[in-house]
Amino acid sequence: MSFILISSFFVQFWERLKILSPKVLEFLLIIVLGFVLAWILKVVVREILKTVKFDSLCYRIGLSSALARANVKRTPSEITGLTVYCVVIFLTLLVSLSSLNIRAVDQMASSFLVYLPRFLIAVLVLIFGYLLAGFVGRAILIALVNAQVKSAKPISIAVHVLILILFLAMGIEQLGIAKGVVVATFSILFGGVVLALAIAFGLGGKDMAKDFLEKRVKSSREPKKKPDEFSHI
Amino acid sequence: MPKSILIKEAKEKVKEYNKADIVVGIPSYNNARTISHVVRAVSAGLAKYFSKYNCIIVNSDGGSKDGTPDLFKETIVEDFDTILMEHPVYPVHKIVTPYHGIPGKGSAFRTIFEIGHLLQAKVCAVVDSDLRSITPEWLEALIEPVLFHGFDFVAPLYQRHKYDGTITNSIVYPLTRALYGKRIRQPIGGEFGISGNLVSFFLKNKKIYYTDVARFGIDIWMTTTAVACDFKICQSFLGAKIHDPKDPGTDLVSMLSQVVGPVFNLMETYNDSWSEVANSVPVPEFGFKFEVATDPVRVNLERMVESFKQGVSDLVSVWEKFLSGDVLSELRRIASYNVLEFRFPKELWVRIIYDFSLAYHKKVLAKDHILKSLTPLYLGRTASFVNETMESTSSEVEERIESLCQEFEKQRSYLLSKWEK
Repeated sequence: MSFILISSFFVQFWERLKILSPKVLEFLLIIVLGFVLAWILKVVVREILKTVKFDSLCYRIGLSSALARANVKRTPSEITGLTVYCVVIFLTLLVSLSSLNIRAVDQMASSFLVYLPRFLIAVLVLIFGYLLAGFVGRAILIALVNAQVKSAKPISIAVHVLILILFLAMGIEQLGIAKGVVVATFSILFGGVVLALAIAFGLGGKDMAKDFLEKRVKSSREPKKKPDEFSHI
Repeated sequence: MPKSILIKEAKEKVKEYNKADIVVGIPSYNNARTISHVVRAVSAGLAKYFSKYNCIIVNSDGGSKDGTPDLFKETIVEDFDTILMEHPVYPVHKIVTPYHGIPGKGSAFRTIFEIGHLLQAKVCAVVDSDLRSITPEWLEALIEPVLFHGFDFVAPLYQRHKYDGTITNSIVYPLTRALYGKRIRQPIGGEFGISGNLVSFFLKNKKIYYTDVARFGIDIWMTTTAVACDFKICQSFLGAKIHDPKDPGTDLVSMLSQVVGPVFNLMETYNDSWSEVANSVPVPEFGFKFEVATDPVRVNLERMVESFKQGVSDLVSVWEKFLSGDVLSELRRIASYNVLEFRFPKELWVRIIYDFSLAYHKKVLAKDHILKSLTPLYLGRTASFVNETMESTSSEVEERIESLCQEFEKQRSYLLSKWEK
């Protein structure tokens, strides 16, 4: 009796295996091909970026120094190649798992594929924001120093940070994480900072503002200090 | 030959005159105070020294609002008898035309060159419209070496106030001399004599007129192109250079970057030419040199030193991307001096200029950021120069500039060693 039970179990197992084995083989094949494809793409992307001097571009725009500060030893070309590799591996895993026809995996794969473009846009927004903040902050710093504005550095840092916060909020909104909360927090923070500065300046700098205005009015009546008389060129 | 940029009226005038031996160009923008004097000096110079030649004076104006072009048209030399032994064979004609393109001296020069080229002029001379000290003899000095001695490019030599031309004295002259090996004392002087052959050459590269060359960069572009492309070069002594005070709106930061930017750009263009140069040599000189007294000028040393100190305190985050640690610590050290003690060693200055040119070449940052961050350092060096030469005579000042040039030549190997790395 027990022999019959055991044998029927093995028969059923064999029947199942016969049905599943092509799918398992398919799964393994996709995995192997995916890894090979990912490796090829990684090398191709890295070499193309090296050829078009992507590393020197990143050095110029300050991305390399940001990576160095974060103790990242790889070059931007290598990092991009590695990112492509990871994305392809991840997609391979999703495709291979969906080949097994498991409903939960199918759902996860489809929702990830829907989410992927938003994620990529968020990454691009963050990178662009980082670069823009660096560029604008530096341009403002140089212009203010040349104009001999005493608080050149704090102003340029404030502009830099504000641009970063703005793009961070845009990135998070793109990802759809606590959408309403992020926008509201950002609005409250930003509005609060501006209001706080206005109040602080208005109350704390009341006398300073008065002096400043008085000096302005006085100096507009007095003859201006003459500039240098020599020609630079 | 590039497509003509001349307006219809200018083209008609060119057709009417058909040919000219000498074209003298006067670029202008709101120079009503001085334009008449310049036109009289030029007309008299042409009548006195080139009476047998067909001469045309061109005013290329940038849209003056003070009636400069009208004054140019109306100005006539009433009495040639006081300066001439014989009357000119040809009357001196005038063309007045606005120029097209980016507003600036370079675009005005392009228009003058095009008129010179169409008229097949043997010589084209250009003089600034804000000059107070121009005399008829300047025309002889600029034109004669081309017309009678076969030179292609005549650069000016002036007697200037010891503090005048600080961008020239501290950057442009020493750097171009060290790079290209020709001792042209005023590479961005403003007055030049140019052969017809070289004028055609200048017109070939039309793209250049859409860069900073269209503005203050035109002078250094012409000089460097003439040197690097092996044209025959000389310099002529003109006497004192005194001009109308510059428009206070002319921003030093823009001026510095519009002059230094083309110098650095030209280092890329003519890399093959300057990397082969070993030593500098003098260029032939024309004219009789004499000492001229110049008016004292007012200098605000405190403002310059303050600007330098603020730069050292705030711009280190920018400079540390291309200046080494020892240069930065040296800058910090000299920033601690007070105004009258302030000194900026020439060795440090030369190293900084070479490091800026390398940063520009390697595109370490946006080019505009590199150039504009040079201003506080330039003001520091200028303040130091004023301090060092406060009691010096003009010949002692020249000796100091010569010693700076030698330092540029000495450290040239540093630039070469870093250029292609």
